[in-house]
Amino acid sequence: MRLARTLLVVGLAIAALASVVGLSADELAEQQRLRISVDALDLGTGDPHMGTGTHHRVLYDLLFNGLVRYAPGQYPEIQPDLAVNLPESRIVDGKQVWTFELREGVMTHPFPGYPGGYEITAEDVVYSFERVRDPSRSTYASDYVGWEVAALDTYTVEITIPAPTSESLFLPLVADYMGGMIVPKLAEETMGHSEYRMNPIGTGPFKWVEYRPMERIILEAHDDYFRGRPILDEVHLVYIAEIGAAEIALRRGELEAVIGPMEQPWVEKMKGYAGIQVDVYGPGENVTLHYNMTKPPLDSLEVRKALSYAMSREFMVALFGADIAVPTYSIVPYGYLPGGVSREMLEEAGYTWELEHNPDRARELLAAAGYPGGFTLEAYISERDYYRLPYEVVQEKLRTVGIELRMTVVDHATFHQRIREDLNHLVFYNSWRPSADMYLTRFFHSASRAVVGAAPDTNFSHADMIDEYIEGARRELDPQKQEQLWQEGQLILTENAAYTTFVLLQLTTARWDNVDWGHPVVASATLYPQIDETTRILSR
Amino acid sequence: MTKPSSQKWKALRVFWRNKIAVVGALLALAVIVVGVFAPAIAPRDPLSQNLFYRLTGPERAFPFGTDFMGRDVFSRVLIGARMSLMVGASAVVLGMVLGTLLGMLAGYMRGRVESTIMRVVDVWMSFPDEVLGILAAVMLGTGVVNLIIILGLLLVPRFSRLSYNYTTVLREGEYILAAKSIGAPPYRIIVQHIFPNIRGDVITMGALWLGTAIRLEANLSFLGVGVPPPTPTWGNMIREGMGRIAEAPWISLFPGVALVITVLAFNLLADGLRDISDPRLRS
Amino acid sequence: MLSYMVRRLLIAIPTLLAVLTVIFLAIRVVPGDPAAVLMGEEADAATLQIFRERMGLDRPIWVQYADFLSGLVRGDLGRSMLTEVPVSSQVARALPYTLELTLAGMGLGILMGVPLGVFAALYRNRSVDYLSRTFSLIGQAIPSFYLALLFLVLFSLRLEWFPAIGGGERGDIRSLVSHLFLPALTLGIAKAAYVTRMARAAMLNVLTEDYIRTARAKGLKDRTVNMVHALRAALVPIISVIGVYSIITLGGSVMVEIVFGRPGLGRMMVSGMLRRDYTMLQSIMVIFAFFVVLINLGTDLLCGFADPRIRYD
Repeated sequence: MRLARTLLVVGLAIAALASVVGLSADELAEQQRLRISVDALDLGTGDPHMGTGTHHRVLYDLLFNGLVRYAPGQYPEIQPDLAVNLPESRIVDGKQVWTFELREGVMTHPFPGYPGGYEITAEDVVYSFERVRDPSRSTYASDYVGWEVAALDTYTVEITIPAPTSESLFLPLVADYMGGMIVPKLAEETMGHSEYRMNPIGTGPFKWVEYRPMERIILEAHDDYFRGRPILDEVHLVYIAEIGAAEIALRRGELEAVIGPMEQPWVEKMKGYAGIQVDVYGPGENVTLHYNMTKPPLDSLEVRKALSYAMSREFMVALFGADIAVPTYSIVPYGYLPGGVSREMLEEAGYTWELEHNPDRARELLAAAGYPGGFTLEAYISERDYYRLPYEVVQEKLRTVGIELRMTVVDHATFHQRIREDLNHLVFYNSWRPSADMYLTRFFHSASRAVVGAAPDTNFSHADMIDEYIEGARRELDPQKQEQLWQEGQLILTENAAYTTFVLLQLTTARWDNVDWGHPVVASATLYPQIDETTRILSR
Repeated sequence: MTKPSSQKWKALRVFWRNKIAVVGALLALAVIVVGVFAPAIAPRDPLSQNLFYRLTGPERAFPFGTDFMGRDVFSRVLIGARMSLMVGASAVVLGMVLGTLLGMLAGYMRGRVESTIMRVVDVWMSFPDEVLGILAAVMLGTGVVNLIIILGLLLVPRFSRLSYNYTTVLREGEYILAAKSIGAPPYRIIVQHIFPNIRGDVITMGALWLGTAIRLEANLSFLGVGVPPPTPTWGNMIREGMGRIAEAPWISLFPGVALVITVLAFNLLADGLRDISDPRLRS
Repeated sequence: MLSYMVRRLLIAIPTLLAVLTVIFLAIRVVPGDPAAVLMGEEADAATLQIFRERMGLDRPIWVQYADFLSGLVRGDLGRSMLTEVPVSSQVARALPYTLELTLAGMGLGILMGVPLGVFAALYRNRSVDYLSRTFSLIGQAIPSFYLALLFLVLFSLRLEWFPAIGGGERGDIRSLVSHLFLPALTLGIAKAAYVTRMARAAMLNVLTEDYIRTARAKGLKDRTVNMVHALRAALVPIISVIGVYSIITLGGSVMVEIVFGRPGLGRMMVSGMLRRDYTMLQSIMVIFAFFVVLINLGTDLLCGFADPRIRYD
C-alpha cells in the first residue's frame, strides 16, 4: 500500500517533470526568422492604399494597422485594432455617425528624424481617410465617396457617412484590409509621397528594412509594437515566380513557408515530405463564369441555360480537390458572407440548370433555340493556372455539347484589359470581396457594366435587373432584411442564367512544422496565414 | 558531263555510305509519319479529360501516364508531334527565307546597306527571345499562325548572321569577282553564285534550329504565350509538367524525349545532306 | 585603332535610335498598362484613368517620347513606373548578377564545347564524334527552364551541393559562387551546344585546308599538326562565334534567372514586359543594345589579334 503510494507520488513527479520537458519541446529556435515566398515577379508599390494582389496584401498586413482588424487567421471575426472598442453608430440629420476611441501609446516605426517613431493620434486617422479618398493616391477612392472624418480630440475620431448602412458593410471599410490601413501623416509628410511609397512606415508588428528588387523584402520586428514586441526578429518576403523552385527551396530549408497553389494534389504531395505541414484555409476565391447577355447567341435565355446545363460543378471540385474546392451556388459564397444563396434555395426555386450537369438537356435546349449544330464562342483568358485550368474544363464541357470555345491565352495584364473592353463571350473571374454589396455592385449593378455602364467595372454579364435589390440592401439597417434582399437579387440572376458559379477555392500554405503562426489558421482576408507578434519558430 | 540522273545516284550513294545520316533520315521520316497520322494512331482522345485517372503513372492503359486533367500523355505526345513539327518547321522556313536574304544582301552589298542591316540584326538578336516573344505575342495575339510568325522572326537574325558570315568570305572569291567584272547584276550574283554555295550550311543550321524553334515555343508557353490550349505541343506539355516534376515526371519527360529525338533525327539527316553538297568532305 | 572604335560606336547610334523608337512605340501599343497592373482587379475605370494621368501616360505619345530621349541624353534612365525606384540604381544592382552568370556560363560553355568540338572533328564519324554531337543537340533542344529544374532537383535537393534560390549575398564570395554554379551550368550547357558545333565545323574546315595537308605531307607528327596549326587557324571562327553567342547568352539568361530566382537583368526585362513597366523596359533595352555594340566591337578586335590579316579599315 505504502509502496503503491510511493509509486503514485513518483509517477506524479515523473508526469510533472514530463510536462516541464514537454514545455521545453515548445522552446524557441535560436533564429527567429521566417522567410515566406510569394508568387510574384517583384514588388509593385509599398503604398498600402495602392497595391492589390496577394504579395501586396501580405506586405501591408505586416506593416500596418486599421481602426479595427480581422482576427488573424479567423476571418471574418472583427476586433478592435487601433481603436479601443468596436464603434457605435447613431443617425444625425439622416447621416450616420460612427465614433472611434483610439488606443493611447501606439508608436509608428522609426523614420528619418524620428528614431523612436511618434504616437499615432486622431490626426493620422483623419489624414489616412483623406488619402484613401483621393483617387490619385488610392485604388479604393470610390468606396469612400462622401465620407467626412473629424478629430474630436487627440484620441477620438468621428466618421460621418452620407447614407446610413449596416455594420456588416461599414466595418470592412475601416478594417486592416484594402483601404482601411492607417498611414502616419508625419512620416509621409517628412519623407515625401514618392519616397514614402518605397519606404512605407506604419504601426504594424514589423518594420520595413530593405528592399532587394526582384529578390526579397526584409522586415524586422517593431520593438515598440503596441501589442508587444513580436517574437520573430525578421520576416522575409521572397519573390519566386516558379512554384517548383519554391518547393525545393522550402524542402532545403532556404524558406520556412511557401504560399502554394490552390490544388489538392500539391497539398498531398507537400504533406508527404517529412517535417512539412500544409495549412488549408479560407475564405479563398469564388470561381465564377459570367455569360455576356448582350452578345448573340448568349442573348437567348435558352442558350444560357444550355450552357449552365453543360457546366459541371462536380468536375470543378474534382479538378481542384474536395478539400480545396467548396461548391458555391451564388457569387456571394453561402456560409462565408451574409447574403449567400444555398443549394437548397436553388432547389426550392427549381433552377435546375444551375444545379445539374446535364449535357443531353443542354443539347435539347440548343436545338430548340435554333443551334442544333452548336456554335463558336470567343474568349481571352489569362495564362495563370487558376484561370487557364478551369477554362480548359469549361472548354471541354462545351465541346461535348457541340460548342467550340476559342480561347486566346494572354498574359494577366492583357486579360484584365480585354475583358473590360467587353470582348469575351464568357468571362471567368476568380474573386474574393469582403461583402455581398461589393460582390453584387461590382459584378451585377447596371452602373458597373463593362464599357457601357455609368462607372464601367466588372459587370461582364451586363445584368441590369437587380439594381434595386443591391441599393435597397445597402440602405437596409436590419441585417435579416438586408440578407434577404441580397439573396432575392441573386436568385433573379440565376433565373436569368446570367452566370454560373462553381467553387470557392481555399488557399494553401506549406511550412515547416516548427513554424507556429500563433493563432488558428481558419480563414484570412489577406490570403496568407498571417504573421503577427505571436508567430514563432520552435526549436526542432 | 554526267547526266543529272547519274549525279543524283552518286549523291544517294554518298548519303547511303553515311550510316548515321541514314538513321537520321529514317527517324525523321518516322517522326513525320507519326505527325501526319497522329489522329489515326492515337489510342485516345488527346483532349478528353478524366479526373478519375489523373496523374496516373505509365501503365498498360496509359503507356506514358496521364496529366493533371487526366488526359492521355501518349496520345498528346503523338498529336503534339504534329503541332510541334508544323509550328517549328514553318517558323524555320520563314526565318530561313527572310534571314538568309537579309544576310546575303548585307554580306554582298557592303557599305551602308551592310552596316545598317547587321547593326539591326545584332541588336535584334541581343534582346532576349522571351521578351521580344511576349511583346510580339501581346501585339499579335497567340494563335498558331501568329506563333509561327513570332518564332520565325526570332530566328531571322540567326540566319542573317550565318549567311552574312559565309557571304563575306565568298564575296572575295575569284568567280564572284569575275562575275562582277563582266557586269552581272547583284541579284543574279546572289542567286546564282552565293546562294548555291551557302545553301547546304543554311539548311543544316535550319535543321538544328528546328529544335531551337520548338524549345522557344516551350519557353513562350512557360511565360504564358505559347500555343493556346487545348492543342498540345511538346513545348506546352513540358511546361505543364514541370510544376509536377516531383510527383509526375512522366508528363514532361516523354514530350522532352520526343523533342530530343526529333532534333537529333533532323540534325543527323541535315549533316548527311551537307556532306553531299560539300565536295571537300566527299573523299 | 582608337578612331576605328569611335567610328564603330558612332555608326551604332542611328540603329540604336531606330530600335528604341520601335520598342517605345510597341510597348505602348500593346494592351494593359502599369496602372492596371498595380490596381487592376480592384480599381474602377475612373480611378485607373487618374493614375494614368499621374504617370504621364495621358500625354501625347510624342511628348512622352521626347521626354524619354531628353532624359537619355542627360544620362537619366528615368524611374520605374510602378515602384518609382530609379532605373539606373536597379540596373546597377541587377547587372552584376547577369554579367557573372553570362561570363561563367560562357566559360563553362567554352570549357565543354571547344574540346568536344575539336575531338569530334579529329575523330570524325567515330563514336566520339557522335557522342559529342548528341550532347550538343540535347543542350540545344531542352528548354532551359526544364533543365534548370532538373538540376535543382538533382544537385540542390538530392545531393544538397548548392543552394536553390537567390543570387547570393554581395560581398560574400562563397555565397555568390555557390549561388552561381547551377545557373551557370544550365546556361553553359545550352551554350556548349553552339560552341561544340562551331568548333567542330571550324576544325573540320581547317583540317581539309591545303596547308595542313602539306604539313602532314612534310612529315610533321599528326598531333603537332593538329594542335598547333589547326587550332590556331580555327581560332578566328571560334572566337567570333563565341562573341556572337555571348550576346545570345546575355539574353538567354532570362529563363534561368526566373527559375533560380536570380535578380538579374533578364528577369528584370520580362518583369518589365509582363508588368508593363514602360520606363523600366525601354531603359533596359537601351542598355542591352549598348552592350551589343560593345561586344561586337570587342569580338572584332579579338579577331584582329588572332588574325593579323583583318585590318581596321
